[in-house]
Amino acid sequence: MKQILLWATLLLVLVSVNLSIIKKEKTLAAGRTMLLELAPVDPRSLIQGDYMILRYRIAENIPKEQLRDKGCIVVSPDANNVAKFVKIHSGEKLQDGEYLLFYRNRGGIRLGAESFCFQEGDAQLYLQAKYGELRTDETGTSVLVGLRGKDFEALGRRKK
Amino acid sequence: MAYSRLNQKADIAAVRKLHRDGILNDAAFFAAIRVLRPASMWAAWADRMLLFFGSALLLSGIIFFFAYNWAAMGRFLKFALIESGIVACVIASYACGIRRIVGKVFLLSASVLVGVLLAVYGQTYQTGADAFELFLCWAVLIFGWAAVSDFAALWFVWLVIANTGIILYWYQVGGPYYGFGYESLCLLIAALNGFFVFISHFGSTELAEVSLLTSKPRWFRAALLAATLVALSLPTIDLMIDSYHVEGITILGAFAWALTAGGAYFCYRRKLPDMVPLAIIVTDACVILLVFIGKILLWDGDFYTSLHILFFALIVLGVTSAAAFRLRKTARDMAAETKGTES
Repeated sequence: MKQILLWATLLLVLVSVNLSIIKKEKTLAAGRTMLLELAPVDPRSLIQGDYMILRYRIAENIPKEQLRDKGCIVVSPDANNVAKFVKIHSGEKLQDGEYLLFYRNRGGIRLGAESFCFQEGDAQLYLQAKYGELRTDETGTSVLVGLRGKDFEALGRRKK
Repeated sequence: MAYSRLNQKADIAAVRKLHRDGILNDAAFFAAIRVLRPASMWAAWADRMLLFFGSALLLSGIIFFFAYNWAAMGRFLKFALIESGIVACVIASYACGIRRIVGKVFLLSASVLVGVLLAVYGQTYQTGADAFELFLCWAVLIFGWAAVSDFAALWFVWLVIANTGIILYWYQVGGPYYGFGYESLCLLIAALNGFFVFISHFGSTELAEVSLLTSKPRWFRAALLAATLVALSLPTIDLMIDSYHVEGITILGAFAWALTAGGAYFCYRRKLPDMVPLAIIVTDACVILLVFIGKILLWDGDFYTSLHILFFALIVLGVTSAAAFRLRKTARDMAAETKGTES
């Protein structure tokens, strides 16, 4: 019994973590690039490495009282892929050029990546950040891949 | 078989007792000690200490290496390294045998590495928003190993992770979104830790079959009891000093505190005599009592002067020394009772 539990736990760890990794990789590979304008950012450090707290401009002009526990907002990217808020999604069909972005309600909207972790000591590389770069898929799931400056240039070290 | 000193297991404590009671003379006592604790004892102790320190330092090194978030190292290499570390630890634990201390330490290392893996996953895909998810997933994933290890250190790590996850959940979701008061958090934390104090007592009884934890060092139980009491003390103190915003659940917390402290005192005084938990309970009760007195003396008055503070300092001295005297007397009484049941 103990032996079974020992190996079953190992299996559980490997399968669940690797499935989550595959899911994220799928979003990265198939996702569409979308930029979200940042409210002023603020680098700080904790024991798990340096990170930066992000707040998105788009989250500031969403009417709070219409938010559900979790759901999607509809956004439309402009020519530079910067997403503009359209409305809160309630199941209707999307127009051309409209995309979904998943949110959670935590007494305010959370778009998934409210912090950005980077290599220790690299804070000055990200001070000029103006946009958060996301990969989103058609269900609205997103992964934050990096930060960009005011001319949409990628900041920091990028590793494939 | 009737109880006699002659059919007891010979250990250092028993021999010391016989010597103290004058049954063994010095020569016999030292001869017995040499048999029970051979010269290699210190080597075994050093061996175990080095095992603990070595694994702790190695794991810290691994944690800090990945915390650096080295950008030049590809994400798949990081995942592969940590996952192979976990697999290697579990295989090593199996090979050494999970009943042996080395096997248990390997299992503890595997459990810590799962946390590292989840942290690197969070770093890589920038999932930073809900940190409680990391801790709760970690606790769920390693539960099986904690259960098979029967190792207090691993259970302790598990409880630290689970407590952290619950506190973060309350801080990030339960409080701001669902509006749970801090009292519900305190009650939940107290229930979790109190439950483990409770089941740690069934290690050597007929319930051992269902117990997950048969080894039960005193420090483990003492730390959990302290965590339970501190969690329940918070609403109790709140009830005393901020009586304007009393809610039902605050009173429930204070009631749970009184019940837990009183019940635990009775158990450790009468049923399972043990001084360490008694000292923790009495210390906690002193804090509550002093907050109460301080509130009446300093808070409720229109103003207070340095004289009030001096007076309060004397009260603190009085209450703590009374508690210390009381505990010493209890210790003497309990020693006498144990002696009484033996002869």
